[in-house]
Amino acid sequence: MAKLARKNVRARLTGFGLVVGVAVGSLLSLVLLVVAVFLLAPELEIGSARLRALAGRFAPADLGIGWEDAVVRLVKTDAFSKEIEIRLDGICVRYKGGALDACFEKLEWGAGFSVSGFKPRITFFAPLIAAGGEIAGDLDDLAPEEPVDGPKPGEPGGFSLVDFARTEFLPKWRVDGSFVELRRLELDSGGRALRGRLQLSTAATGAARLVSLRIEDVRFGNDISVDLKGEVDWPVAEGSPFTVGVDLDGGLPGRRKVRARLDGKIHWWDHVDYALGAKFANIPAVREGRIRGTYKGDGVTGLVSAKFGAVHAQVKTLDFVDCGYEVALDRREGVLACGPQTVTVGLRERAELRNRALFRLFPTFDLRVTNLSWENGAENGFAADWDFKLALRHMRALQADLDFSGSVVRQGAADPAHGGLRYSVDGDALVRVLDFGRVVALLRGTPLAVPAPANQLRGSIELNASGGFSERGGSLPFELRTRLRSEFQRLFATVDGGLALNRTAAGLRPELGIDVAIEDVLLSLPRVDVTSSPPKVVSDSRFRPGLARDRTSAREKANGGEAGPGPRYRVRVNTTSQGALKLATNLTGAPIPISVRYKLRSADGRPRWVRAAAAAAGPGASGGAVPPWMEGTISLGRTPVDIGGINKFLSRLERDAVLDHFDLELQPDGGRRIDGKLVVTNPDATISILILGTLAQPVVRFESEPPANEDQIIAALLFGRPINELDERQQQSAAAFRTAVNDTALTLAQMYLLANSPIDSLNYDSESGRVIASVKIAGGTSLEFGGGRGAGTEVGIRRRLARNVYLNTHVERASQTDEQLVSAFVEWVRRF
Amino acid sequence: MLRCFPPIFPPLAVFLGLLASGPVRAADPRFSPERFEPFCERVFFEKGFNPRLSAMERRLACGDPRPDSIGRPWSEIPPTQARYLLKTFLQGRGHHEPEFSIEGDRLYVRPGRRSEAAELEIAGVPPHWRVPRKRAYRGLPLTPALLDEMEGWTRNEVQSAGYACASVGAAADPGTGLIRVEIAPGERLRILDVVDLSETRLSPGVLDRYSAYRIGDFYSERLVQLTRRRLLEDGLLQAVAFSTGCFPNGVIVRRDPLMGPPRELRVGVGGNTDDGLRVRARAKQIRLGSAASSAEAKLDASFRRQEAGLLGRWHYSSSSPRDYLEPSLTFERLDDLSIESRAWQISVQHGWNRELETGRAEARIGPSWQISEIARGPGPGESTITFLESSLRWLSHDAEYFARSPRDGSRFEFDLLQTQKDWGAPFTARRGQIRGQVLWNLLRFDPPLIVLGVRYSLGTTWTDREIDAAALPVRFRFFAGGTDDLRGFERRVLPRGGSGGLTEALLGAEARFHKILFRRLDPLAFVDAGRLGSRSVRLDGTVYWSPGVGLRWESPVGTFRGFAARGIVSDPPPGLPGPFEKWRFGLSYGEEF
Repeated sequence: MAKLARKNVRARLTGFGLVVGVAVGSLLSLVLLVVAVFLLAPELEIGSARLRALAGRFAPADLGIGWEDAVVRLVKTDAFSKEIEIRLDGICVRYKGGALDACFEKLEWGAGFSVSGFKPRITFFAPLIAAGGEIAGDLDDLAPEEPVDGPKPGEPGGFSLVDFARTEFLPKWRVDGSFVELRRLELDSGGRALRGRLQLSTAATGAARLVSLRIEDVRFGNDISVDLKGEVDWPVAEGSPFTVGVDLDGGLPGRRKVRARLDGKIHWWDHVDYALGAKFANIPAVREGRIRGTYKGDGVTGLVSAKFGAVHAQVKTLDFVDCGYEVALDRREGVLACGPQTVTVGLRERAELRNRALFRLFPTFDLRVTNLSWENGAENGFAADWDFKLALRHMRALQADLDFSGSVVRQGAADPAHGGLRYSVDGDALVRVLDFGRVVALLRGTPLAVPAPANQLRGSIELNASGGFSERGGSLPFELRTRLRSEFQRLFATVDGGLALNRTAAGLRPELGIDVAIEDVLLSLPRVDVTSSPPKVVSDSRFRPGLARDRTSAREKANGGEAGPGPRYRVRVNTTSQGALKLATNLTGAPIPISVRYKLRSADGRPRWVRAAAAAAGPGASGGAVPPWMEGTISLGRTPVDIGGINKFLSRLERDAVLDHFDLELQPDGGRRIDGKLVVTNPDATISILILGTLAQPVVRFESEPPANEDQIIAALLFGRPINELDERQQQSAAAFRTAVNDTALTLAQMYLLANSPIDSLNYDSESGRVIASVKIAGGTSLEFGGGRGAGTEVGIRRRLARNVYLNTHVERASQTDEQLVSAFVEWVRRF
Repeated sequence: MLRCFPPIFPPLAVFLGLLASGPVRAADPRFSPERFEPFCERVFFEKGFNPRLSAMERRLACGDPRPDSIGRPWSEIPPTQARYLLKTFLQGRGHHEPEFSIEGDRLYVRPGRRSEAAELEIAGVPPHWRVPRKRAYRGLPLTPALLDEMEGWTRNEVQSAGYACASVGAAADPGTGLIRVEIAPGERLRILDVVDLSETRLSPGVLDRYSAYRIGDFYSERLVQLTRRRLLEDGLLQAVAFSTGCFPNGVIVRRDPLMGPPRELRVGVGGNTDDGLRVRARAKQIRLGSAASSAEAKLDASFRRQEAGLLGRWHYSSSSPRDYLEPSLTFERLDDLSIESRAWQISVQHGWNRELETGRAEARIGPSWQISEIARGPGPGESTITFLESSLRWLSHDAEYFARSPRDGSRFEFDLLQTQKDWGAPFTARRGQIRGQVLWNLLRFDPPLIVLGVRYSLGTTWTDREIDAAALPVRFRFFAGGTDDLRGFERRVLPRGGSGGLTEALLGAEARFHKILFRRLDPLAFVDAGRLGSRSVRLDGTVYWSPGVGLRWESPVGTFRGFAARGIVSDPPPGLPGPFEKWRFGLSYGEEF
């Protein structure tokens, strides 16, 4: 479409030029004919009436010329030279019945010519005076209906207005005293109108002529306006450069404005010095620009500065100051280089900052384009090679070095497989956090503050990447290393990975693979209160504003739509050695060693048998959406446990307590199997509490060496004595503990605490799920666990008031009177 | 679910969440410092708001003050991290749109309005479940705990309709207060089998004796809970846990019992408004043999009545584990307003117990031998009689399940007491009585809004000859008055004269409005009416009325009832003593209509 528009405009302008040329040419032809006839006459004057007759005879049928008064005077200057003077008052030209109307109040012009070798040639053009002009027309009507026969401009035999102006007209034009005035210019084209005024005048100023051009109040349609004022210092001496100064005020659609100033020194087309500056208003992306430099026949050099606005959501400003550029036209190469402190990137600030410098970056970069080529024609193709380097040092905390090169080719005959574009990119990147502590300090008090417990770490982080892409795909392998530590924590890990782009029928599909090697990590968990549940730290996603308006069920959303293939990814996390990962917690005496063998894959990376099982279950099984799948094992290693600092007491009891292991196995089909073991060692027996089954339905078993039944084991566990040596209260406690375990009313930590505490007695209320244990440690301290089972509808007529004490309601029948008796009792109940 | 060590907190995920968490406002007059008061060094809450954070929540928001290996890494909490966590903590308290402002290292918190529940919408209702109309939730803070409760309630209801493996999810709109519960019911499943997960050393069928469900019935969560309660209240088990396994063709109920010690001793103090203070003691051998038979010794005493007894229940048949023989030996002394008596009784009852689809039926029959002496009041003085006791009882599952908060269901009893002249008594008499109670949850709200109850009792004693009631043992007579039947009259004062009657017809109706006063109290209104007769199958003309009002409080420790009733006698027979028409006020604990 753009090409067609350009063709149309060119055709219309060519048509306009042709009309002007034809009109002038007709006049000159007429004149030259007269000259030829009266060549030898010393002077000849043709009056208005005679000229009308000649015009009527020789002018084209669709060209109407009229005037109030006209005279053509031919003056002989020597034997073979003549001068012709044309003066027309009130001349109007009408072409094609009004497609173009041009009138001037006064038109004076002339030329000198001579005959040499029987060929007439123009020796000079006299100053042109065209005052009081008004031109109106419709370029659409001027475009030739049929292709113009004959050679085209630029072709041998073809007429080119530009070439004629450059080679014939301008060098011979005695411009001094010329004056062209268009009081009104109205040209319509394609429904849009060009309006304006123009005034061109020249005045001799000694060694130079001053050519002033004013184009005022030009309007394109309703939303584009131009006011231009230019001056050209045209030296008298031939070969001397002339200087140009142009001021332009323009208005663009959307109330955008541009104000520009162009200064140039033209050394007769082979050497141009230029400086162009522009300021923009109401254009968010661009604020101002400035380019200055020199054009010589083989290339362009100079400096460019620009200020951009919000070119990206996170980039508020982008400023270039005097970046150097160089373009070699013959070699079709170019360079844009911005040295240190020439580029400023202003990032979008999030909030009140203490340090605004945080959000101002000063990268240096160098962009080189080589082997640039292009084709003109119906399908414009181009090709180029490029090389880009960027270096950034920020706040003595961050370092980034990028070095990329590549090529881009757009085929003249578009290649549908790649959208007509071929490209390649290869390079390296290095991003380094030099001092993590400095980053923490810089971000402190900002919305990007590093959260606890990471904000205590110090050290470095380094990311290396090297790879390449093309329209057919590619890969970018990378490595990230962390070397961070603090007084109580460490984070030494290496992440090896790669981002691949693979060509599929649907286009390029990214695939990410990451291997995380945990080498030495010690992190502290927040302090936990044993006797209460930890709070939720993740918002409950069940609260959704707008739910009232959204009638789509969660199931429909999960089932709805065929989700296209998303990005593929594969993540592996492994600890490199036993104890590579430790979590410090107040629940244990020493950090808990954790081994990890974990894999996570995107949904389409599942093994075939998992996909088959999911397909057999049907879409309802998973709600339609296919989640990523994971497999692996997370294991807690052998750890002495010291909840509540009871180890001192345990040692007096000659008892040792340890978490032997706890494994969580993640299965690809979604299963979560657990296998854990707590070991309590007495002088007489070693007791193991086994936690088996799944996370959803765990099973607790008790074993001992030497073997005993479960009741015996629990008795020994809680009280360190055989069950037949326990008194009634202790037996009751043992039974209650067993019940609580079976009812899964205790967390693992609570169970361990009870198993290793000097319990005086223990009671469990299965109705409410509460466990109350009396512990000897601190003079009869009571520990209470559990909080009930939520507001279920089950009701009972028995309420536990305290240990062994219940409030019961009994309904009985009196034996004599057979009446129903309902009584409430506070009862003390013991089983034995 | 077994809860493992506390979850590992993902600092990276928290950090990423920080970037997307709530708006940050600067230079906003609503956040001018004088509107806030410090919660800790760096966190400020709007004046007048107390978030009531737990100790751990406070440490996560404000930092851990202890300088040890756990506290130091968590000592400095950036405002953005505190904001993220406080947003979750406030959500747990019903504040879903808190506003925050960070000024340097200080965090200012405006909790915003507290969202309240306004409407409940249930989607995915399965065909065989009639949705109860939920009430008493509007105006409650819209918190995750409330959503959990709604999910749990819906799940329990749907599972009680047979959809054993239903999954339920709730969501809520904090702006409008809408709670939407979505159900994926699955298939309505029947119970295939019951499997015990641990060894009990009891005969097969012993634990099933208490089952409220039947193999082949549609699964009902409510009946499973009822079964659990029966097992625990009877004392057979110390603990039991139920779980279900869902299969395409049905459900397997898994039962994990804990036997506990086989003997139980109870000593208690209590009473009621009729008897006053009571003390009681029970010693029971809960499990005798593999059939779990039992034996019990009891003592019960109040100022009005004293009782001692030995009672046994022998499950003699392994093929019918619900059937039993129940011998008993009791001594009772009664010192009432109108009568003082002592009685020894030996009886042997045979019981059949069956679980039906909607309730439990029990039939008992057996001989009793009683030696009674009436020391004061009308009666035959000393008597020794042998009689046959038969009874038929029905208790619906709803009535049993909602025993503590009655709203639905029915109970029915038919008793027949029979003695013959040649069994040692000086007369032949048969006492038959039908009594029962029906409750309706009008409008089907949950919890109920209006509970309408009707209770009735019809009975008469036939004798072989015209005989005064005073000549019969107390058990063959009918008395009325008291909380049990006519609340406007003192206990057992009707018919006037103290002899009792030979016929009775009693009817009571009560309407109770559940938890509408201060969300806790139930106002109630009732009318009791009755006629008695001094002859068999014949009612006297006097009608006893007992309209009244009352209040009921379902407290955490039991139900309290108070009432005021007016005793009205219409068409009284002339010449009998006592002011009977008066107001009576009563207070009871544990008694229900």
